[in-house]
Amino acid sequence: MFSYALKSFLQDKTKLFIAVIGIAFSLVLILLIYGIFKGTEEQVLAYIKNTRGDLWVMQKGVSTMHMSSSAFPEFYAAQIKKEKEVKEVYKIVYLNNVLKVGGKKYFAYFLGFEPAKKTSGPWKMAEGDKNVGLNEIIIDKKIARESKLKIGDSVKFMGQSLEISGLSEETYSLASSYIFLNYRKLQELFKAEKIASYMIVDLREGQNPREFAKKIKQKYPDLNAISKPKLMDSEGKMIRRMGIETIRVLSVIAYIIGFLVIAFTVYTLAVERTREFGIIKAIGARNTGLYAIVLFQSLTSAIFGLIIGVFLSYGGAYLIERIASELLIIIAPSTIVRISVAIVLISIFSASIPVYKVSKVDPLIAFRE
Amino acid sequence: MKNSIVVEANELSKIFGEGHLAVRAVDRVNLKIHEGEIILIMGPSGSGKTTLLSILGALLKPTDGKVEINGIEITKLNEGKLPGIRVNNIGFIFQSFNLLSSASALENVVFPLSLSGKKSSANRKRARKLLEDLGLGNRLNYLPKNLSGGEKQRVSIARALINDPRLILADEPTANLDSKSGHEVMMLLHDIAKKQKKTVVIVSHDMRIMDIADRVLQLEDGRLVEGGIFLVEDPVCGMRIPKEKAIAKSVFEGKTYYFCSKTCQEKFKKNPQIFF
Repeated sequence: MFSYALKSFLQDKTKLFIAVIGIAFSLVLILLIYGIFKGTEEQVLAYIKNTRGDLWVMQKGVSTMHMSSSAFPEFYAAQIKKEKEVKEVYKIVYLNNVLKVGGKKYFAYFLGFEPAKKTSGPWKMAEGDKNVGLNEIIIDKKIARESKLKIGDSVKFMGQSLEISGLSEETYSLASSYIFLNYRKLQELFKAEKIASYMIVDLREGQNPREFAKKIKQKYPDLNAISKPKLMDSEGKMIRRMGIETIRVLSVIAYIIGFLVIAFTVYTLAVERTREFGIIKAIGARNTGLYAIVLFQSLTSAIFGLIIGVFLSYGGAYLIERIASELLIIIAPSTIVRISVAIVLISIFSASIPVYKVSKVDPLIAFRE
Repeated sequence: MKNSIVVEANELSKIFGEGHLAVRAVDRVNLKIHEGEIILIMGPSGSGKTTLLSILGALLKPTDGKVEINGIEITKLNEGKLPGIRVNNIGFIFQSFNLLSSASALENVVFPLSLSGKKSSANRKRARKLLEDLGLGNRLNYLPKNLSGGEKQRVSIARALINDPRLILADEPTANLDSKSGHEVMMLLHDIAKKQKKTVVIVSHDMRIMDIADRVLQLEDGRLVEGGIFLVEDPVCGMRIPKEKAIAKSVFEGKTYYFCSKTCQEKFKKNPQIFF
């Protein structure tokens, strides 16, 4: 029975091609949308992820880094450093602003870090040194390339001329880029002397970040403290909330396309094979057997579509990343599994229309010329 | 001893439509068909031949009356049980062959096995053997579109036989064939009935099939013409003639023989032994 189902499905190669390609493109659409958002999330989280530290300390009432402003007196750093659980504290100043270079505007996260404690600066350098001086700046190598800038050139930021001392990597994205300055310089530009935005706390071995976070919150009522995994989680949630509606709408459209393509293909196949289904019924097939044929064909088109769709998605992601280098597309295996399950369920659901048609086939059709 | 009854229909009627639009397609048909018997059902278009065949094939429920196939009263069974009756007890041969276009000759023959749950390597071998016996050993993997009409009908016959049913129903099996292929198919049906002891019911307009039929049933306006026509073979010239229209008859060793002409009868009387 399944051999017949497969053969009859493969017989009409044009229809099979249309069905498979239709499903594949639905999948490509969904995977790329998810991939772009996942990539953006990854880019936005890059700084937190790549910076050492067990605990992030910020102003009370603030629980994320992006889309937030945090400010507190920097003397807290010295106090926290004295706690027995603490190994090191890194202060950073952080703000969103625009860097105008070469006639282009780059929206970026500006991070002022203490160069002596290199760990809170750029995590990967393409050129130059992390040790950013007071009047120096580190920009991403893509910004430098686009603006034809090199180490030693100057850029203007907030009315001051800063010399490029290094070019960072993996710090450029569609949503925003990271630009690094000297901690004191950014305070000065910000007119926020002795004010820090965040503190990154490195704990001594064996210390529990969650417990220490509780202690900080109790001891310093003006501050909030969050462990690194928790901060990454809440940042991720915030980003997903920002993009979730777009993802939902586009996903629903893609799922509808997939549903219609499968339903239409299997339905037309069932209509064209009405006579054959009648013959099969006449010689003794039960309706359940015919449903199985339709379901099998529906699932087959979905599975072929999924396989091709996954390949096309990876290929498409590679091409897009090459054309638009600011984009990072991450196609996670878990997303593929989730969407594949959805498409398989859709294919089962879309088989219900031809199944109804098949159930009405009169076996007496076999006696007609 | 008379062979056992394979098909029995009692007071079988089928009415399509209602009220003054009602059409009685089959009208109080009574029928007994024995094992190994070949029955030819003839009649003008619209006389109810195919409707009768569909009822006998468990494809259509009669309005009244009952049908027994192999002693099972199929008219009592619910819709869910009828496919099982069809696949195990009845083989169908259709006018337009009705092979599955995407399946090879061998796969077409094997297909009913998957419906009856008898798909085994032994049965696959049997399908192959059936096709070889029907002269299609070199066409096993051909798709129907690459077979001639006669070959298609032979595949269809093999498919009808694969589950070893006692009853074969054939709807105009020679209609789409040239005379040579038609004759071959007729002879195959004859052999199936006589050598394999299958009961063969044929609906056809083809008068040639009378040559192999044991009985011809004439259907008019849904009713069987009383008694039907019993065909007998003239032992001298081999011609098959309706028993009641025989020109002459003779009894030899306690058995009655029928002749198409006086001349045949005379030849027989002179030396009966040479005709056996």
